[in-house]
Amino acid sequence: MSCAAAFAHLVAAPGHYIWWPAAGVFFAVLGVGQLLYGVLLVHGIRNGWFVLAGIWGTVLVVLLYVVSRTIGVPGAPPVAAHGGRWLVGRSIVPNGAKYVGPLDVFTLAAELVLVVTLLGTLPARLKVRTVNQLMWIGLGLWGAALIGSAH
Amino acid sequence: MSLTRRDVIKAGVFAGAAMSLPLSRVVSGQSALANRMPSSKLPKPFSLPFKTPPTATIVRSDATTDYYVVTMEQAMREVLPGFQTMVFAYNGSVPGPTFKIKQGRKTVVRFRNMLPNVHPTLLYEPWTSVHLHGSPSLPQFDGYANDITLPGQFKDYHYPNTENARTLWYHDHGVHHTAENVYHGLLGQYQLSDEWEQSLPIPHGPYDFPLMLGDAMFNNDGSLLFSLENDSGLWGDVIMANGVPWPYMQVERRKYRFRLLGATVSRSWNLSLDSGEPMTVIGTDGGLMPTPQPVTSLRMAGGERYEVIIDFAKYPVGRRVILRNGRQKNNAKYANTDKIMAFDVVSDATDLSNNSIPDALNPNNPAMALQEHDAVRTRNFQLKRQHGQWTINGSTWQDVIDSNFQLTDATPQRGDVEIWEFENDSGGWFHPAHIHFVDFKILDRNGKPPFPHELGPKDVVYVGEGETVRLITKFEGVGKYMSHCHNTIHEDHDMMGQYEVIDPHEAGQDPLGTPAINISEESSHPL
Repeated sequence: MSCAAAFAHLVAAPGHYIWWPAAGVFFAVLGVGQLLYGVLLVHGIRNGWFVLAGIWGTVLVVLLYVVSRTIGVPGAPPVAAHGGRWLVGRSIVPNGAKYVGPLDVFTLAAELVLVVTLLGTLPARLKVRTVNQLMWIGLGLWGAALIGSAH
Repeated sequence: MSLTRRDVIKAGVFAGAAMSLPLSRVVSGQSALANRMPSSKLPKPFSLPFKTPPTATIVRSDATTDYYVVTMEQAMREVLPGFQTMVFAYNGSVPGPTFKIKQGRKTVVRFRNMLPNVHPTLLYEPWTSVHLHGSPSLPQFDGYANDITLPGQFKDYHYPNTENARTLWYHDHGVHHTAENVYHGLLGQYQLSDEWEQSLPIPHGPYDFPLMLGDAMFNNDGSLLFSLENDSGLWGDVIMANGVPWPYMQVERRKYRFRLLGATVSRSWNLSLDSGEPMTVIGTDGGLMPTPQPVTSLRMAGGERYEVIIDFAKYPVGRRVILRNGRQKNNAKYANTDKIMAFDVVSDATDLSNNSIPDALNPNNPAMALQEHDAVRTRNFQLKRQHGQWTINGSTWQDVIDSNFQLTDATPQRGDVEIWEFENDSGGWFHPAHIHFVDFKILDRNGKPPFPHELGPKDVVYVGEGETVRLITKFEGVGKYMSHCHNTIHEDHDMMGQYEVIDPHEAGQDPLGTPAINISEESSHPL
């Protein structure tokens, strides 16, 4: 799953670079990181801290994605500047759910499956604590969405 | 280790939020209809007075040119009685002020984008690109979709006004947001007159009215509801004429000239009078027709213009005549979308000058003189929905952008006459096909002659369900111009391409070559 998400991020990196170099670099670094992480997992590294790092790193990426598709990433440039390129596909447009593309859904699904899979490898106490933390984050997201829709 | 059911549910709270919230606008777009203002709260048809937009005012003139300044800004307007609606206005007016221009006088219009950086509810950045629809403008002043003016910028558009008299319109054409911007009010008429047209005894001046037909949907709080149905179109339940819902207009017993404009995002029209009497079509997109055409109904889509004369001398004082909208395929129907406006005949004519319709209007229009045998080639354009995108011959505007604006659908040589064939084999939607820069003559539709009201120079053609329409045009000038569906939802998603007129001795101007300028630098760019 980590390698699948890595693949998607690496595919999207060049287009994002044209839109916003910082985003392109982030995607490239993220893709390479996810690829390395997947390779290390395949090679049997199951250290608790390593697993936790994978979970929380992936959760952060997912949260960033949610922000980008709801309120937009602060500091991101407009999608099309004058005479600029509109290359990366609709899925990068930060301000419209209609622009959530198949690659987005694929990547997100891969990351969520990765998180759940990694959770299953944690020791019981750590697993419970992490699952609870994820639940609270999830509730926070729903709450923010409710507050946002009320305004 | 494994996850318990409780663990899965807890993790699911997070996963569900991550999956669902990005899609929330799709969901809210669909559920938004639930927030639609009910019919009972909408104004009753024919309860509001007809109005016309103000005339654009010249800020400066020289020997050849008149100069205008138009500011685009967010404003609150009472469209529905008792409610305030956020709109985008040109110089405070929705629709924008009407330009009244004489042939031969050039114009320069400074369009200033003072819209907010982000649309307050749709959350997009309202960049603009103003297209003067019907004008043979140079590419960099034609409203090329990606030639955008960001909020806080301005651009001076130069218009030649060399063409014959016609009803043009200016509207926003900013890439991927044309529909939203036009829906919020960024449109207006630009009426070009010439000596020939002025010499005709048809209604002029106080008996010559712009009539821009639009539709909209409103939320309970009076704000505009922008709801898409799978990107197929936007269908309002409120019909508006010049921005007024179902207005009434007081008329005298004489002939009136109405410059009809399909100012809709998606809806098309089937216009008729409830009296059953004909209207006389005297002009189309490209100006006066060769001969007047009396019609009892008229099919019109977004972007099309028809000048019609209605003779109210046929009716007694006290009679109300209703302009109706008949059923059209693939248009959403609501309680009062079959009505447009009412004309109340209130008095005998106070002025009977310019009160006739000559048998010949403009027999010498160059587009109408074109014959099939003049054409050097025929091109076919398939209008289709593919993979969730609206396409022309399988391509989208995104493909044009991806090609660094090099991809073209056609490359006619300067002076070439060509036949273009638009094919819509679907029964599920219609496409108003617009070719920038040129006027054309419709040759036939499914092998049959065009409708009587189409027997004039055009720049938009209604390509209905299952229709194949052939048209003929001559390519003058040089450079890249767009052609697209004028259902602006289709246009934005992404049924638009470009063609390039080639002249081996002259390169076309770059449509992106005259970029907008920051407002902060305006003082160093006097008009």
